[in-house]
Amino acid sequence: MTASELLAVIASRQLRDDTTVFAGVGVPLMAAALARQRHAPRLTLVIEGGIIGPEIAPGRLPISTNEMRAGRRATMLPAITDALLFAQRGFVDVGFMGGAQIDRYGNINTTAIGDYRKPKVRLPGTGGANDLASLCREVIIVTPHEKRRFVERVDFVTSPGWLRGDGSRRASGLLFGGVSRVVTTLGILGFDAESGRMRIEATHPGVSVADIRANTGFELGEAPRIETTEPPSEDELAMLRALDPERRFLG
Amino acid sequence: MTLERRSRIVDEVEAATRVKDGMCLSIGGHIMSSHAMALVRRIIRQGTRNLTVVGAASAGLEVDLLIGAGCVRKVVAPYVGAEALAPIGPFYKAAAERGEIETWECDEGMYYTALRAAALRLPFLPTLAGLGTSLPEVNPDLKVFADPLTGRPLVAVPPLQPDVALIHAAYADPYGNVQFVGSGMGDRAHHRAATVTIVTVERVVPNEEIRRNPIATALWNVDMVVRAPYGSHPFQSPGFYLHDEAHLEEYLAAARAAVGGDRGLFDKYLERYIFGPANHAEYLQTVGFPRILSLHEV
Repeated sequence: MTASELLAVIASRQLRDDTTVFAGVGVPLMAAALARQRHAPRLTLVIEGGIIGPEIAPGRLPISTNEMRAGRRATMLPAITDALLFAQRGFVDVGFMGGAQIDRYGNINTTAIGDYRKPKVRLPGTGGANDLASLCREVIIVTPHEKRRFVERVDFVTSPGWLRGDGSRRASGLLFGGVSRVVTTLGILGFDAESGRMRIEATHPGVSVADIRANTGFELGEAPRIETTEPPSEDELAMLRALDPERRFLG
Repeated sequence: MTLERRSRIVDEVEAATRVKDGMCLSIGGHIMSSHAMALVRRIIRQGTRNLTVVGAASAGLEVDLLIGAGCVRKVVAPYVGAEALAPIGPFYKAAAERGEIETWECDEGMYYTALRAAALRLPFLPTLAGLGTSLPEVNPDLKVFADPLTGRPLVAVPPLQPDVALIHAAYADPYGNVQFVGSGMGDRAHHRAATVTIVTVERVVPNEEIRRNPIATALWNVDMVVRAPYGSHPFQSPGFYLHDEAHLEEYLAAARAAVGGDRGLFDKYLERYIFGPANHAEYLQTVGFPRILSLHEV
């Protein structure tokens, strides 16, 4: 089982039936497609390029958020401006996204490492990520768990999580939404409701709380009760692998 | 008395001459789809320089190609890359890191808000997305302000008016009525904002065909219509063909080598696909029918 397979399966389980998810291409979209096939057949996908309600075909995963394949059997093809408006209007339950750098408040950086004006590494930019992070009713982040990604403070806030905690997101003018969970290769992280700080909520089988701490660049809290996730079943993995037989995203 | 309406059809060679040094140029589509490449290649070939490129929100490798070819001074786009093929455009990344281009940092919402402000001739429009981010810190054109009615913070986004918008669509009639297959992505916003709009299309259709389905007409009154079947190649054109992944990989290999210091492959790419062919038809001949006809879905 590869890291991407683990991420996609655990991420897919976060999605509830009969809800709406705005998913980025790659692991998030694969996870959403898997959820539709298994436990959430009435899940509505929204894709950035102006696509609502597509049915992604196994073996034909889109490689981009606006592809013809992404629009297969869609119920609506609105302009991108409307896709974003629907999120802002409150029609989208979950924004499902990745991130290069993430901090203890769930803020994401996909713009630049180092000083923006003289970046050590220029990253792709926000695309629609900030729109999702700011406007969806709830945001779930999916990312490999590496110390260099999980930093005390992101160099650039591309997409806001809980900002500096303690109600600062609401005070900034973002009156709704926020990041609820971070699904990683080591476990599932959540956020303390008061402080907005990240905490450990579940570990994957064979992973300890200490392992998660050792791979995180800041101090993590702990939920009152830390669960152990169910490992991906043969059935989940088989369906997932059928979605991406070329293993373009699964690694 | 019936007057003959003026046809707006021109060829890609003539249309591209409308784009001059130093202009603000928008390119429609979205990452892997619907970029007016017949015109982009022409702009490189005619040597246009110092462009402010308003890439699509989000933009693909067409903006990267223009940077690599030395045409660009400033980029306005929330993203430049090819997602699963390349998370970021090689020339865009290198030019941003080396300070060779200016960047107007924004997200997709701000980008469309700026275009809408231009279309409405307003000094700004407000947005929510952007609050709490670092974007206003690095883009001095964005200002956080207190809404005069509720006192709550919002981001003010100034207008963005391209001098010329390049759009690739499915159909147009000779009078500049344009219809897409698919969503049209963000192209309506470009057309509404820009001073001049040039549209390349897969097919020019009679005015009667537009009138049969007027609800599908997304743009009207565009300034020039260019007949350019396969005009988005190597990107997709919804309803017509998929992107050409082998071609994009060929480009990416050349671009990566170039930013690493060896421009040999990239110079060959430019010569083969842009400086060599005299027009769009010759470009398609260079790419070849077997490749072109392989780009279908199912």
